[in-house]
Amino acid sequence: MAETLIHMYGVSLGATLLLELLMALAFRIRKPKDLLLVVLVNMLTNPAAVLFNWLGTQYLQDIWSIFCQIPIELLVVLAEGCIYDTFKRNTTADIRHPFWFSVAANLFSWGCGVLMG
Amino acid sequence: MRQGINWMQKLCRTGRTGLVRMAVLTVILAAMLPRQVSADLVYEPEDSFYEQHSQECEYENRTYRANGPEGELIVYKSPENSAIQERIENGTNIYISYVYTDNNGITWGIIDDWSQDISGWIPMEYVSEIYDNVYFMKHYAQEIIEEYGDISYISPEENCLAWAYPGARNPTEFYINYNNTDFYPTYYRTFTDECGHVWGLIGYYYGQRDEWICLDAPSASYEELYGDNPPVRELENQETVYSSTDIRPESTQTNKIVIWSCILVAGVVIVTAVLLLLLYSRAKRNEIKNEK
Repeated sequence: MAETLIHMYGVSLGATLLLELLMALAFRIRKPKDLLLVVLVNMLTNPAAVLFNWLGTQYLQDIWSIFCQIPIELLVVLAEGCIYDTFKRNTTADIRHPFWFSVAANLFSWGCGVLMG
Repeated sequence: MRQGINWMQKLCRTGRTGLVRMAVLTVILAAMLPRQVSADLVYEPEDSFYEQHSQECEYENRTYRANGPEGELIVYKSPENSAIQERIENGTNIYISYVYTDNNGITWGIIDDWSQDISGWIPMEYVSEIYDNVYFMKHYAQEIIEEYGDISYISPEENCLAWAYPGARNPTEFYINYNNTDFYPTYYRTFTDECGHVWGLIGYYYGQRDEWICLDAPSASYEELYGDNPPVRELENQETVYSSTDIRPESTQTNKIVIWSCILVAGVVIVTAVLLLLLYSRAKRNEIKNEK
């Protein structure tokens, strides 16, 4: 069971962090504190998103579990965007387009996840 | 790596347009994904349990008849999840692509039938065989001989027919690639039927799998082969005996994963939220200090 949990959460979080950090660099987010923010934001949202998606696949018919992914991902994008925006407005965090960054980073990591199966 | 980042920066430098382009490209690429197949065109079902246990599953590729207790066959979400997906009336033909044996020794089959829109797992104890090539080969095992040969003698003008088993009805056309003389269909088993016709079993040829060819009359129809004296191909009388009438998935493993997942995720979320708050308050404090 430990192996299952590590595979479920560890692999997903690791891959997400790697892909979103790549996207952060592309958005010229270079300061270590800003990159740390990206890491923490994804640690906040990714495990919960993985859990809800997994529960959907376990207890719903496959076609409905796919439809569940969409609102979960939208919530993640919104939550991450709000956190980036809050940091941008009230601190020296240098994230120029917080919501667009959240959209792009999540779309990129989701798309890569789908392609990798 | 540097070039990759420069490319992404260039894409993103155009701002929203670049983002939209990237988003659309990602969605198009993801949408173009075919259903999973492995090498040699073997179909693999899109099922979360199958994906996690594919190494433990065996390819079955066979049609059965629903034969559950109480007149119906219950289709479950997975061998570890008792959520009911469908109830199938006994007597209905169902296609099983893969089978899986759980820790209790119970064999489960996965139904992934697009035509009937049924997807899920069933206990293989609750299905019965239909008369097909697998049953034929079991039933006539003593009379089927290991013998090898090819059917290169069949001319392109002859319409070679393929049969599910000797004596089956409704043959299909067997495709032979006459442009490739190095690779003719070969048979590896032969059978002589009740009327003296000799049949050869082709294991695989250009996607055609387990097909019987009548070697002495490859293009003859059922009527031409058997006339008024067709062979009998029926299941032997099989009384249904269930080892248990209450085979269900055991959800213990799934329940454990749910509980531990919730604890783990709650822990990570709480710790991360605290760290984010600390990061925020520290950054705000530094900003106020800098302003002073």
